[in-house]
Amino acid sequence: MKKNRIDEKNKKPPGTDLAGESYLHMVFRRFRRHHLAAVSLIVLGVIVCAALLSPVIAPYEPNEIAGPFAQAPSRDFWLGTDQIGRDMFSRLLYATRISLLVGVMATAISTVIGVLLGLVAGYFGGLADMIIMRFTDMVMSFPYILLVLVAAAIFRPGLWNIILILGFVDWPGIARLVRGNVLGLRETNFVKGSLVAGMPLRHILFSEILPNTVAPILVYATSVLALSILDEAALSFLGQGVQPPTASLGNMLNGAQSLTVLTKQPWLWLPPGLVIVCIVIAINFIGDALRDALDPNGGR
Amino acid sequence: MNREAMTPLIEVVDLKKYYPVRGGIIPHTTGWVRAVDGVSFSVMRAQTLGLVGESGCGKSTIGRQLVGLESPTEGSIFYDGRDLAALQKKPEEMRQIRTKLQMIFQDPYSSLNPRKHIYEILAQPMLYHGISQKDTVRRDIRKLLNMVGLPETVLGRYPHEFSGGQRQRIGIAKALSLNPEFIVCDEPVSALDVSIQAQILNLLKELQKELKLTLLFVGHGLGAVNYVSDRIAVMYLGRIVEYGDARDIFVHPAHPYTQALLDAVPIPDPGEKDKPRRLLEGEIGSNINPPAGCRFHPRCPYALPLCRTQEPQMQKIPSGKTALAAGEHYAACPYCSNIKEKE
Repeated sequence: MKKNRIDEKNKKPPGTDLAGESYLHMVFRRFRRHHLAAVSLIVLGVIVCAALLSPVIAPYEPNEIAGPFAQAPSRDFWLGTDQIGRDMFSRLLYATRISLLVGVMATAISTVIGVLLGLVAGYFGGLADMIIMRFTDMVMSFPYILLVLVAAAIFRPGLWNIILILGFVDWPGIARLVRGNVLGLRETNFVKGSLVAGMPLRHILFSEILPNTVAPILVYATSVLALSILDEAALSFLGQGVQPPTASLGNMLNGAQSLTVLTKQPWLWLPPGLVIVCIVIAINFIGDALRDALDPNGGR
Repeated sequence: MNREAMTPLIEVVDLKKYYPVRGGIIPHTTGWVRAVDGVSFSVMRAQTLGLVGESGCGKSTIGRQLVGLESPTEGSIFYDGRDLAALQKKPEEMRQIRTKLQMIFQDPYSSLNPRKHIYEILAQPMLYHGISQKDTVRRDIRKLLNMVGLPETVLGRYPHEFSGGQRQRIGIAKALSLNPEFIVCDEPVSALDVSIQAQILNLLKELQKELKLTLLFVGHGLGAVNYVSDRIAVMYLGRIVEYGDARDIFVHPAHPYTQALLDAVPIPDPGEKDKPRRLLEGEIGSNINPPAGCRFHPRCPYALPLCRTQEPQMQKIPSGKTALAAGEHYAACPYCSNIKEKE
């Protein structure tokens, strides 16, 4: 048989890892061009690290009454104390941890649900598609916050209930996205080729189709993550979310409902508010950059 | 070739594929697209049947039905004497036969998963079907790559790193990896550069001889199809209009449509440029409402009044006068022998 006709210049040693790295390399290179996103990544990294290491960093226990009530920031209490004398800095660290946990877990749950339903609807089509997509429309058309409030009222509010509730209302967007992608991928020759090769359904769904829709899912998941964190804050602010004494960014803002706090004690609401803003903005910038970096048609 | 030893591997009997046309305010089926409308043929073991016709004549649909990507509306497909429709009920046997019927796709750019490197693409089906084991799969893949003329270094790379011709080689290796007996080549070269086309065609021809493969070669260029095929079936609007030995059809086309197809092939010789050509006018008819009688009559330069009403049957072209060999040569045109004489 003929000798190889492959361009010798581009020769790489055989093996799976090297080529896999080159794809990630390309994504990383394209990501780095977005300076805002790179900065966001650092900011988010710092916040996440601080949240994870809160038991080490925090000077006081989060629920410990450590000093005088509602004291302004000082050397002992960097961000002051709240109305019952707990250290605001320590609480802020623990609250960030809780809020990130809620956001990540809720996003994970909604992504799994959305991906599974989207795969089934897109691949099988017909009746399954109709039922799933009408159900999706139904969930989407509900006033979001009302649904969550009702759910929070029915099930006792609490950390895990909030996670589950948010997880179960955030999936429709992902389901639609995945379905749309699967509709296109189902008709591609490599999926047809797998069918001709007699590969089982799970291989076709999870090994051929799913890896090709990971990029848009990832991008969408970042916006779901930002939304979940905001929703947790909103729910907790309304008193239907994470219950005191457990601190979350939302229920720390709860104290800011009175006019005196708003005008006279900004250290009680400014830091948690800023942390929320920073997290959400950072996640959104990262999502934008990811969209560009993962775009297969983005060139170079 | 030893004609006595020839037995059909694939037999297609009165195959039909209709697609519903949906319309109206309340969606309902308003008509049928008759993509394939009563086609019968057989492919001999270790031979190549070329399937030629214009775009939309149903040739690719036949290929997809043969490998099980679509199920026939009517008619049956026999593989080695066994009815494929009946085998659907026996999943274990079906799984085995699936691997014996493979396909090479037209567009090499979409036939390889862009997220997998070549090793995964080739190894996964082999491991799943137990054709190769974990410790032997690398050796088997190396053998495959050698057959299609690719170096082993391609294994760790992704499809986007290859040119169209190289991808088509990988596609061929993928089809071969399951030790098939029958491969549908669905216009395997029409997306490639002309210089690469010849390489791929030669490769297919060599492999076919070497591995005693049975091929169905679907294409719209008579030149390429004639080059690789032992027999040719010419299709028009979901029907076969002419069927016979490749050489016969190429040299002595009987059906007016085949003649027009052959005349449409450019001749790379300026001296021949004044040679009269019978070029077709008009578009291929609708396969929702195919023309009555002979489907080709609206475009046929020789059409007679009878052609509008009477549907022509396949009939044997007398050997000697038109046919070169004693092989079979059929055409669905009752007047084609007269046409020959007129000229």
